[in-house]
Amino acid sequence: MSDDTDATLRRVFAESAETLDSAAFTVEVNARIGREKRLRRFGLVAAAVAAGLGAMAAAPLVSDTMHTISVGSMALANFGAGAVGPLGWLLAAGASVYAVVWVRP
Amino acid sequence: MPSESRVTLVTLSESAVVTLAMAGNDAAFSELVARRQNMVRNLLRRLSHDKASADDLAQQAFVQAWKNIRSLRSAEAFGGWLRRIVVHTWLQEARKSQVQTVSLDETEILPSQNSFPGVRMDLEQALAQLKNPERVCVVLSYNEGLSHAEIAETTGWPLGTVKSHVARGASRLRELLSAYGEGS
Repeated sequence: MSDDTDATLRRVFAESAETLDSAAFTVEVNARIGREKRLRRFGLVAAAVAAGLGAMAAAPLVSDTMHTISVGSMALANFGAGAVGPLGWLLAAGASVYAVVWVRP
Repeated sequence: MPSESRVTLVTLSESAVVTLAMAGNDAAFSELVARRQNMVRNLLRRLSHDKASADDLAQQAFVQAWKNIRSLRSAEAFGGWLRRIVVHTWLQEARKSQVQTVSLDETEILPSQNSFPGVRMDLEQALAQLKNPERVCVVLSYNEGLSHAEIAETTGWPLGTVKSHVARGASRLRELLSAYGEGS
């Protein structure tokens, strides 16, 4: 395409340009941004509530597991500390497995 | 927004206002909307078929810019970055609504109407005949004055594709505009 044609097209575009400068448009954009902010805040609150509910729901399970581990640890400490030699350690390990697997609160 | 801070912002350079907006200053972002709305709305009016949807897309583009302004690399890059958001907002909307251009066989080319300045109406109708990629490339080239490389960067399309879209689109636009000239 020639330079003349290019220049003609540019002129057509330039002549058809409008001056679009309204305060109402800026106000509308600000209103949309305000809505986005409210949605974002709502999302944060919803996430916090969901995390709290999740923690509450998981609490009994966590408590159960911790109890089992502590019972196992105590058994290991009692048997392990008193026993001397391989038989003592074997007994301690057996007691620990028993405590972890079968002993429930 | 207090009028005092608006007065202060008006006196600042654009990069200073962009820097404030990047730091989370909403009044500064509002000032950017006031300064750039003419470019954004004119660009989208060239791309869209009607003014109402063009302005709606312009608002969406500004909201996208507000959401992502912290990811802007430098304040000086704001103009090109905003233009990329505008173009991608329009392309996304065009894909979503499957905007179809009306072929010349289906519609009669109307001469200029009294309610619009002739040249604007002619250009709007001629642009509406182009395929979406051609329209974007032609508008960015002739309305925004971007080079082919800048158009490729803005749209994310290969340089060769951009060049052929500009050449085909401009040639078609020239034909259409001369047809309008003969009709009016």
